[in-house]
Amino acid sequence: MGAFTWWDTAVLIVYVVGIAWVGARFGKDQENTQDYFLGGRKIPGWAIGLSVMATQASAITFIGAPGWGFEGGLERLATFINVPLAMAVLIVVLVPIFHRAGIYSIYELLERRFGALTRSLAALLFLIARGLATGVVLYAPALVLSVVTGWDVNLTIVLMAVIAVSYTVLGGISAVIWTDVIQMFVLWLGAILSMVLLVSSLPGGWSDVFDYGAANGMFDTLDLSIDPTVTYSLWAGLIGGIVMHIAYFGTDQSQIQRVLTSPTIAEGQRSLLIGGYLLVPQMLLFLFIGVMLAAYYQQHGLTAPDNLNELFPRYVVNAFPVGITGLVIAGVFAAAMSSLDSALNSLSAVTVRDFYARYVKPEADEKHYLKASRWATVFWGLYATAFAFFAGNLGPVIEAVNRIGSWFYGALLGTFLLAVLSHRSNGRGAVAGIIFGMAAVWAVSQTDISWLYQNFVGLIVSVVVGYGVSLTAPAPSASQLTDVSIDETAPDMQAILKGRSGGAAEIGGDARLTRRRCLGLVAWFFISLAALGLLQWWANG
Amino acid sequence: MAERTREPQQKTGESIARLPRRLNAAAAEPRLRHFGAGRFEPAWLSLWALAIGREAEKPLAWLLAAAHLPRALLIAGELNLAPPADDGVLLLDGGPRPTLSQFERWWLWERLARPRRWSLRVQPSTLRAVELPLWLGYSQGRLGYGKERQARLIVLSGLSGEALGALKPAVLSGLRDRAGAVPGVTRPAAPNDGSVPG
Repeated sequence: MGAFTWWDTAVLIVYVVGIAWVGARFGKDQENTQDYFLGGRKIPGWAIGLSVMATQASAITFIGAPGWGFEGGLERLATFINVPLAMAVLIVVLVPIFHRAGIYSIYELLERRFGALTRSLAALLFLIARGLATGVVLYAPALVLSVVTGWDVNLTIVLMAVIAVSYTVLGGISAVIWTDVIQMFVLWLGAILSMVLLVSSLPGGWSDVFDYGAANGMFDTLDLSIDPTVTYSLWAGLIGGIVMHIAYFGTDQSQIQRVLTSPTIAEGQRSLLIGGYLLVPQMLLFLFIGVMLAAYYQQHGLTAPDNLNELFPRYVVNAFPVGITGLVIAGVFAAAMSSLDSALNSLSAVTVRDFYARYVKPEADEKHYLKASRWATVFWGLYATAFAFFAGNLGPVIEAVNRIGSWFYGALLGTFLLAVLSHRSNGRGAVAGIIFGMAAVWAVSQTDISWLYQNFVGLIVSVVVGYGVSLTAPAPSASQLTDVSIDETAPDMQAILKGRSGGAAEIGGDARLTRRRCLGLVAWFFISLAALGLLQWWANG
Repeated sequence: MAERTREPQQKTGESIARLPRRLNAAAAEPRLRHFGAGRFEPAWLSLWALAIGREAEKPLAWLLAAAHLPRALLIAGELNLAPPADDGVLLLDGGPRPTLSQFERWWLWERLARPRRWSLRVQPSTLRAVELPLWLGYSQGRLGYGKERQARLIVLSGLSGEALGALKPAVLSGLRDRAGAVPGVTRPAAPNDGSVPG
C-alpha cells in the first residue's frame, strides 16, 4: 500500500491491453456483426444498461463526485434527483417521435420541421457544447495519470488526447458491450472497496461517518429554500435540473444517438429506463464516498488537495492493496476512453452529416466521408484538448460538465419542444427562440442565480419568444408537420381507418395502454426523495 | 380482409417474394392490445430490399426501404424469402424504388451514427422487391374535450412483433391510395425537398 507500484503498472497495462484485445477480437467476428445489426438484442438488457452508463459518465462520476460530496455533502444530489422524471418524459414524449421520424441525427428533425437554418444552428450549439464538455472528460483521466505518475497535468492531457483520438480514429472498442460492463463493475468494485477501507480505518467505523456527516450538515439533501441563489435547492434541482437532463439525454446527439440507432422504440426506451433507475443510486454512492473521505481527513488530521478532483484518485493510490489500485485506475482509464470515443464519434458524425455533407461536399463518395469523419475526429480532439487545459479551474469535473451543458440546453430543448408540441411555430420563431434563449441564459449567468435555473430560463424564453415570433410568419405546411403530428387525424384518414377497423377482427379483453415502465420511474423518484428526506430527518435529530 | 390491390408482378415486372410471418394472430393480439388496439388485421407492405455484406460474399444484413421513407429498416441475417401466396390479406404499396445512391447514403449514415463495419458495402445486384408482414391494430382512441374519438393505427412487425412507428406514414399512404383518396398529407417530406437524403 501507499503508492502506485510496478505491480499496479503491470495490472494497468494487462487490463488496457486485454480490453483492447477483446474489442479487436470480438469486434471482427460474425457474432459481433449480428450484434451490430441487432443493436445487441441478444445481449441481456441489464448489460446494455450498464454499457450505456459506462459510456455516459462513469469516469467523470468516479473522479468528480467524491470531491463534490467532500465539499458539500449529499446536497449536490439535488442536481440528479430529477433523472427518473426526466427519463419518464423522454420515454413517453420524445423517443416515440424521434423513432417514428426515422432520423439518424436528432437535428434532422428540426430541418424537416423548421428548415435548414434551425438545424444548422442547433447542431452548431451541440458541437460547441459537447466539444467543451469533452475537454472536461479528457481532463479527468489525464488528472488520474498525473496523480499516478507525478507528471505535469498539461503533459498528461496531451498524452491522453493523442491516445483518445488515435483510439477513436482506429475504431475504438465500444461496440463490444461486455467490455463496458466489465469497466462498470471494476468502478463499482473500486467504490465499494474504498468504503470498506475507509470504514475500517476509522476508529468508530460507520458511526464516525454518520456522526461527522450529521454534525456538518452533509446529509441535508433536501433544501426547500425558494431563494433562486441557493445553488442546490430541491426546487433548482426539480425545475432547472429536470430541463437539463431532458435536454442532455434527449437533444444531445452523443446521448440520443444510441436511442436512434436501436432497432426498435422499446429498446431505445430500455437504455433510458436503466439509466433512470441507476444514475441516482450511483451518484449517491460516490457522493457518500466524498462524505466518508471528509470524515477520514478530519479524523486523521489530513489536508485536502487544492484540486478536489484529485481527492479520490489519491486515496485509491494510497490506500488500496497492491494490484487492486492498478485495476481500478485501469477501469477509470477504460471508462474514460469509452466516453471519449462516444463523444468524439458523435461530434464527428454531426460535423460530417449536418455541415460537411450538406454545405461543403454534398455528393462525395463513402470513402471521402469516412476520411472527412476521421479528420473531424482529429479536429474535435484538438478542440477538446485546448479546453481541457482550463478544465482544472472549473471545480469538480462533474459539476463543470453540467454547468457547460446548462449554457446551451435550455434553448435547445425549447426548440425541440416547439417543433414537437406547437403546430403553429415555424422556422423564423425557432431561430429567434434559440437566439433569445441563449441571450437570456447569458444574462442569468451574470447574476447569482443558481446555474441550474439557467436551463429553465433558456427553455421558457426560447419557447415564449419562439412561439411569439412564429405568429409573425405563416404557419407551417402540412408536410412540415408530418414528423410531429399524428398522421391519422386528417378527416379522410379517420374515415378510412374507421372503415377498416369495422371489418377487422376484434381483440379480446379491455384495451388499455400500459405505462407501467414510466410509472415505475415516477415511483422511484418519490422513493428516492422519501429516503433522502428520512436521512436528513435522522441527521438533524 | 379478403382483398388484394394489385398483382405481385406489378411493382417491377419481377416477382415479389415475401418475408416470413413469424408472429401469428395469437401472438400479435396481446401485443396490439398492449398498445391500445381494439381490432386488428394482417397486412403486407411492399418495400425494396438491398443486401449488405462484403464484396461477393453472403449478405450479412438487408436494408428495407422505399424512395420516400426517410430511413431504411435494417434486418440482420438472411431474409428467408418465400414465394407470394394469394391469401387474401390486405396488400399495401410501400412506395417507389429508391435509387442505389439513396441506399448507399442510408448505409453511410447508419455507420456514421454507429461507427463500425466500414468494410461492409451495399450489394447492388441484390436489389429486389419484398413484402414485409405487418399486423395493423385499430384503436378507437380517447375522448378529448369537445372532440370526437380519434381512430389510431398501430403498426406491428410480423417478423419481430415490434411496433414500427417509422412505417406508419407508408402504411397510411398505402391505405389512402387503396381508398382512392387524395395523397399528400400523410406522406413524409420528399427526398428532394432540400434536406440531406437519408
